[in-house]
Amino acid sequence: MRMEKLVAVALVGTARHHGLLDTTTDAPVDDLTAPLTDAEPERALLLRAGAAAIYRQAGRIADLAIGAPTPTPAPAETRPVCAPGVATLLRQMFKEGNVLLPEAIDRLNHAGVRLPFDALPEALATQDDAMRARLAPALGERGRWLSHHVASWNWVEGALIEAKGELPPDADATWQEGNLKSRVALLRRARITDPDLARGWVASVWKQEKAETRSELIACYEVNLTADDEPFLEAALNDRAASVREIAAPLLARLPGSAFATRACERADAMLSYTNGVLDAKPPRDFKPEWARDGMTPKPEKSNEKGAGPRATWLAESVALVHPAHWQERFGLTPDELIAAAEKTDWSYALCNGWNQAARTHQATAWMLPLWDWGRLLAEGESYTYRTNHYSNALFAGIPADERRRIAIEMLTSDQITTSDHLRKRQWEEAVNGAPTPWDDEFSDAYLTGLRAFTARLTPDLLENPQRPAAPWLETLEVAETALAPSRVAAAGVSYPLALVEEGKHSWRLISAQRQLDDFTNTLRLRQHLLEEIPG
Amino acid sequence: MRLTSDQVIALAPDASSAKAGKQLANTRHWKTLGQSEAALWGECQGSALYQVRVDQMTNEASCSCPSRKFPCKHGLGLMLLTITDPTSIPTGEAPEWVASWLTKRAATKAKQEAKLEAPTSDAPVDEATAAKRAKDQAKRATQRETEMLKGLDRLDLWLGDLMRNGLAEAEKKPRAFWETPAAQLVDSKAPGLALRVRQLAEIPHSGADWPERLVGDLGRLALLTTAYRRADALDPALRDDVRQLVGWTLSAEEVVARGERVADDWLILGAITDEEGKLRTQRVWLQGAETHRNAMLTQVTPINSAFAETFTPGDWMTAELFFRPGAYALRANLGKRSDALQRASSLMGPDTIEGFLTDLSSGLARQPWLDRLPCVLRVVVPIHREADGDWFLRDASGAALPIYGRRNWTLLALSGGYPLTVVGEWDRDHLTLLGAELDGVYYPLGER
Repeated sequence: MRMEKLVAVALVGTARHHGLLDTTTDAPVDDLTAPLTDAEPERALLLRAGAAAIYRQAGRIADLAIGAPTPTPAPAETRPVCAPGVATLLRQMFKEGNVLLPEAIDRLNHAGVRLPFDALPEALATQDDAMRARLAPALGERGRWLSHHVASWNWVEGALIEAKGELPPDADATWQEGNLKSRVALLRRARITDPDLARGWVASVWKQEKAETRSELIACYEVNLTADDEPFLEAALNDRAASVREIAAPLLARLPGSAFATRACERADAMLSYTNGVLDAKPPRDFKPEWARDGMTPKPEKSNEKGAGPRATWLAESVALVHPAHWQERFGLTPDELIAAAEKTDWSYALCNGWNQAARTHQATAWMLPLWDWGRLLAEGESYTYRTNHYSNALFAGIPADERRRIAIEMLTSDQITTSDHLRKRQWEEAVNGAPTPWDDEFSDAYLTGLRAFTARLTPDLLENPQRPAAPWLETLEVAETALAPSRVAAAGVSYPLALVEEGKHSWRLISAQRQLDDFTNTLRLRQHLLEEIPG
Repeated sequence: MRLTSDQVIALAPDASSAKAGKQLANTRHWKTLGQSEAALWGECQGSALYQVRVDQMTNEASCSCPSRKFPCKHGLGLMLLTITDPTSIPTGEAPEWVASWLTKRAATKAKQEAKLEAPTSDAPVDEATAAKRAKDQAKRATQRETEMLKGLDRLDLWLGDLMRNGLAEAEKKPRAFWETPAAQLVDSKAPGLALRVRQLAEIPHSGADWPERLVGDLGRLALLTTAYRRADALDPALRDDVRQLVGWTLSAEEVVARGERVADDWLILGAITDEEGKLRTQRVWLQGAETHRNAMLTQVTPINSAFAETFTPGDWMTAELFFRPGAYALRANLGKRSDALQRASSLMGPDTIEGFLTDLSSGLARQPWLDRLPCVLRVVVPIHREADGDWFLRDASGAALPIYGRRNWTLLALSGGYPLTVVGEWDRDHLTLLGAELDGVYYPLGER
């Protein structure tokens, strides 16, 4: 069937068309419209066009060669599917990136069930690496099969191999051609599974990489760091880029017995002595040129503030490169005693900041709590200063779990903090949010009792007046949503009504607090629903 | 309440109502709350205390607030609350303000149903009055007929002018060029033709083959005006179609009296909503469990308000349908409806693409202006063509048909490379995905 002649006449118009109007289509429909010769030409054209269009519509045929094969069918599933109610719920949660997803997927994996087929596209769109690792086994055979059809879903195979603790078969190609993010991820894994291969990889490309890439790669050496890494790291101290040298130095410091560690120890030893129960700190007056190679700062910024001048900086930097246990051994003192002794010197800030840095570099857990407590004392005693504000808050995570739990419960039961006490407030928040998760029943009860009591006494004045004591409870809701013990979720999901109106006027702070609390209860109700739908 | 939160959100007339509804889904906004088998109620503290009632059967909400949106945020809030926190709503006896509302609703419903059952149950009148009424009615019909024929004449002149001057310029014509004749057809009481003329405006910018499609649609219009003038020569069933296509509407009573009545449990295959001017229209596709009849329901509502009936794809409903008279009975009116238990589905339809296309051509042979058909294809495999990202369904014989849908990947996930039943809406020349059936479970994969 050919519509060209008919369409051509219609486009030009019958008025401009001379001679016989040829509107035939070379199809049997022409016989149907042939008797229309009597009609005026415009009408005949229209009726022919209508008949031809319907004729063509009715004559639609299937495509026989679309140039795409039927996909190889997916293998049979090995895990049963989860309950039907979960599917719709999960699909929605994937779309909004719900905070409860990790727990939901963990429960699916624990129960040995898989996601339903119709939730797979949303699940495969997951971007987060940690979430992908969880998700991969729950996708089932169908999810794996489906992931082969879309380039951006090809993470599934990698995540499955990773779950087995192996390197993917295309690891070499990824190392050579992959983007920086995937190369870094691969290198970190190879440093565990095959350290020699990992070192060989880095050596083979080191010279041609940009400074930015070199710093990212050398940072991976923190994984499974051993004495075999010393020659490479020591050589990196001569790197053109300061960013590379700065990363290499603390890594070397972590290698006991390395030439670097010995140098660092000697340097710091010359600055500290302990005689007759007195710690004496003698920061260097001049910077020795060879120190720069070990990552120290030749010209620190000048400052009049206590513990912030060049000498203090050099002292702190020197102490930071030495394992803090060295001082326990050398002076026969506990971390608490060392900190107390440092307090009596003129250089207490520099020393404690140095130890703070050293404790984190060397993961010296015995020092974390004493140093964190020192920060607390600092906050309570001295006035709020620039230094205290910058006192590192990464220490808490290094404290052993039991201790963290104990401190956090202590915080929960004493939440009367003056709002202006910033460091105290921050430590309170840090302790509660940094407590080991998931929370146990007792911890959850302590939290909920505190939260109910807080919301019951919450007034605009409490939130707005800096003199009134209030712990930052609202800043802990996000952690609590997922950390609360499963047995306490139902109880936690009961509303926390605030008295929104006081003396006839609305308080926007209270309204916003109420929103946060409502979101909290809504999330917990959803979580309760999930807990019921996916029994653990 | 059987709805999910998603479904309640879907009832919201706009996004801001949905958001406000979510915020109200919290017990602290509610002074009183309660539910019975028939209704759900609560008093919500807003600028005043508003009384909110929801019919458990139809999910229709009524509220004493002054909002013109329907359902309002209070109604949505109450429905969401029952889903998120069912225990917060005690079961009890409905207070007076709820009971009276229910009684009134029941009365209205009974009246409507009585009207459906016995369309001529009006009070008896004497012969003279009856004769006068019949005469008035006939007079009105004649008047309308005259107006419509005038409208048809004017349309035919316009069509003739277009053909005389040629369509080459059509691409540059302003919207008013198509709007003017459409508005005139509305004035001439021929809204069916008006809609078709209005839709022509979209064609000149819609792809390289627009001239062929435009001339084809103009031709279909001409065929329709010719058919209408020669209605007496047509088969009575086709005559019904032609009259409806031009713009005569059948009253509900006429449909009951003359249409085919089919009672069944119907699976809601999909619902497609279009916005046109100030109206939202919805097409709902159904297939009966016992009769395996396909049906299309339509409803219209002003923008910013919800449709009178809620159809959730994938749900079952027990209902009587009245198919409108015509040569290809597909469009139906909804009679008595009640919720049906969810059950396993076993959709019927052709096993091959050839079979569907044959059904399509025989349908067009009976009713040449047929634009939309349900397509239930069994034993087909979805295929994603990597080269250009296009999607197809392929049957066992190797024949393929393109398919369009937003959730094609879910369709592929359900299939896993194995055949399954796929449901779509066939619209003139392309297929839009509505859902799929696998192992007795229907998965809605339409718009939302």
